[in-house]
Amino acid sequence: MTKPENNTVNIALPQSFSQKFVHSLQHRGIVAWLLAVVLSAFYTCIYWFPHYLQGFIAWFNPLSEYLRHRPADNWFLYGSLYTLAVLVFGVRFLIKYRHSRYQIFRTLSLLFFQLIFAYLLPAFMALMAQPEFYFTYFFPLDSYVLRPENVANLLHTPHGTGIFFLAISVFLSFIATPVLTYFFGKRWYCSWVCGCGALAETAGDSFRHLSDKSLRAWKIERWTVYSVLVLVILLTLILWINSLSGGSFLGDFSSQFARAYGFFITAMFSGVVGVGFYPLLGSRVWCRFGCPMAAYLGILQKYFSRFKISTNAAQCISCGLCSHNCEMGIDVRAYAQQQQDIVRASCVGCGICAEVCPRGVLRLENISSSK
Amino acid sequence: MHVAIIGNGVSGSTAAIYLRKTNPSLQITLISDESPYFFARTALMYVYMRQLSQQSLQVYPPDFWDKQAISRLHDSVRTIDFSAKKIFFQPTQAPLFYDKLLLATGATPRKINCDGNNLNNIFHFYSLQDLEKIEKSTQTPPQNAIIIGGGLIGIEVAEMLYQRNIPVTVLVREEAFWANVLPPQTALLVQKYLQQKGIPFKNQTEVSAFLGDKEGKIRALITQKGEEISCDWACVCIGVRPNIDFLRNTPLHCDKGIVVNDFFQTNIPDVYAAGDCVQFFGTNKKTESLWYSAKLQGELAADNIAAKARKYAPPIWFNSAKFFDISYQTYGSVNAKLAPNEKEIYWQHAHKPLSIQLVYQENNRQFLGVNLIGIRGRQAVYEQFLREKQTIDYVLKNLLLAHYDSEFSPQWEREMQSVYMQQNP
Ligand SMILES: Cc1cc2nc3c(=O)[nH]c(=O)nc-3n(C[C@H](O)[C@H](O)[C@H](O)COP(=O)(O)OP(=O)(O)OC[C@H]3O[C@@H](n4cnc5c(N)ncnc54)[C@H](O)[C@@H]3O)c2cc1C
Ligand code: SF4
Repeated sequence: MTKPENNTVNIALPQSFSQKFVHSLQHRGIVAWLLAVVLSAFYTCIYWFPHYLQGFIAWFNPLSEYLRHRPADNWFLYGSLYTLAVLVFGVRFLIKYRHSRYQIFRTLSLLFFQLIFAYLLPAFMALMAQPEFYFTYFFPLDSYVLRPENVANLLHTPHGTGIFFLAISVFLSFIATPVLTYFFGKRWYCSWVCGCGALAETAGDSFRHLSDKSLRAWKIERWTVYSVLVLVILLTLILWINSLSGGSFLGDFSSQFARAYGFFITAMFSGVVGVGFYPLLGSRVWCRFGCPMAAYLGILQKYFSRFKISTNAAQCISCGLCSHNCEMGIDVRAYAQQQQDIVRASCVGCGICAEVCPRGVLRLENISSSK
Repeated sequence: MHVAIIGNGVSGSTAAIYLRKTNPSLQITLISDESPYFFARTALMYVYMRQLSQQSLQVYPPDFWDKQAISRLHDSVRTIDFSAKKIFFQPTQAPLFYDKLLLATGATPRKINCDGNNLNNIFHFYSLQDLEKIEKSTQTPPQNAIIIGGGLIGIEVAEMLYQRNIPVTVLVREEAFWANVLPPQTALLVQKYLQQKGIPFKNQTEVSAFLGDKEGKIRALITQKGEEISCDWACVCIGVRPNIDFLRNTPLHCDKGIVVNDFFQTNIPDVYAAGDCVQFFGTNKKTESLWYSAKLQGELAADNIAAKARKYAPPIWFNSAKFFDISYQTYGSVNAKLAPNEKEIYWQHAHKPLSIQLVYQENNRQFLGVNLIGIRGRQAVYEQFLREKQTIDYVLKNLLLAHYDSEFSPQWEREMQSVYMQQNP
């Protein structure tokens, strides 16, 4: 009869130097902390102390002159590095998941939207002296586009391009988003189009398992993500009321609110914490806890969508690979082992759970609920 | 009332959870000598392969058991006094009294009955402790690792060592990998694929003795054909048998396993058994050793313990597995060798490890079962085909309903349909 033994052997601990390095990077070791410090410091400089990066920015002058006929600034540096990271790690991701067409198609889509719509097109528009506009970035994620001062600017651009942009933006936020989400779930945006998603899926792939799977984290997530959505709606409303009332309503408050939102949510949360803390909290911290677009898409996905992850009857062996690899912290196994389909507001439809499941239990599907 | 459950594997733990769900006031104790918490045995290999942490083997969060008020006891049961309803541990530990008892002691690896089978560096792969031993013994990689047994566990161990760049050879009794279950063309397809990956197979080879060196460590094995194969590491994966040795000299009726009726009752009142350790009354073999069966049995046994009679009826047969990166699924009954009145329609990809095999009865064309290699099928659909006793013609016409590969994947079922069209113009 076996006697209880103490767990003396640490199974699968790294042996060689390179294994130790990777382990430390992916398991919140010293390497991960160092990387987090460097990334956060970089974000802090980009936002608030760009003069520290002057020399670095100057390297990008030739590229900026070529693309936009003007010298590089901190945002050009940021956009270039961001796009480069998405492309390089995107290729790595494509190689890793080359056996899955779903992964190939959606990654190519992410790379395409990042390179063309988030990087080259804005540069080209700057060249053409057109207003800054991103087709893949709209309200409520873009908290600026529907603000009164921006709307006024757009309405007064020559040749009416501003009006066109404004119309597109409203169409994307209030018509395209609900319709596409009804048919495909929020993944059409988060895992096929969005730039934050692009970085998370490519450069963040090695950190996807760090997401907190506990119920407590799920509770916190629901509080924070919907609060940010409420904040951005409130902010926009207050700005409009203030603007329509000629600044008499609440006086200074609305612009202070806007500044606070910009500092805490856009810069600190989505930037410094959202990306800087990849190696500590996982790749989708911003998407899960902060993004107002994700909150909006999430409500649509949960209540008005055909999308779900279905479970292949009784086949789950409770191995936990799906939960382990879920970047949104969903305990997929808890559903799969009870033969329940997964309908969760936070699911971005990356499809990695289905990819890693050794029994092919999970399948991303768009099925009308009546079926 | 106190229900004690010996064994916190999938059947024992599932039973505990179901009992709690329906009986909030019951006192429940889960006993195991292997691990203080229920873990996924099926995922042991992924810990070795660094795809999972040891922590994430736990199927439920660490605080789950306390929240459910299910007590856990990490100790080894020595014997049971069924008339006094007492469980005995090591002598220093007080015995535990129960009102009802569930035996869910699982299985234990079968040994090869031959000389030298107790030498050092011969392993099995079943428990957490086995994994620890395998880890320790491969930290300095062996030169010649041998796996004895061409089945599911054997191939898992092969994959584990392969992933750590340890050369490994697989000895198989049959003429190809898992050929006692897979039909010949499928067994060959899989074996060829694995050989191309760099896993040598030795078919029709059985061990007759192990040879050791001066330190008592394995240095070679002798096959039944008399060949000597040198090796410094071996893992024996030739199946499992019910883990019931400690119950042998008690009034409990045991044959190959603990004998139970369809309500999971043993011959002793208030004593039940479920999972890999049982043998159903009227059959002459142990139950199949499957995660799914053990889980279902645990669930049903819980209801019977709670005096809600629920009869066991084996579900329509299914199984799934993975041989390295090739997935395998089966639904219904597909024999390795077709019976005289059975026929098959078979499709195999020209060079990829993909195949579909549909089996039907010749006289009435009733669909009997399917084997899928590298392709995923929708269980609910295949079960419906089988339950409704559809004909092979109907199944082929509706084969795409069973498509379950991820979006944008090729629909290989169409290839199968064209094979059928050629055969039945
Ligand atoms: C490596 C591996 C991979 C597998 N993969 C798959 C798969 O992919 N699909 C599949 O369908 N099946 C798989 N199986 C089979 C599956 O794991 C078993 O069928 C299932 O675990 C049986 O569950 P059980 O609860 O009956 O017993 P077990 O899981 O064996 O649990 C019994 C527990 O009882 C404890 N115990 C026994 N006697 C005593 C005692 N006297 N005192 C205290 N404690 C005791 C044991 O230590 C053990 O923890 C796999 C098995 C192994 C070993
Ligand atoms: S990866 Fe698949 S088998 Fe493993 S727990 Fe998740 S759904 Fe179940």
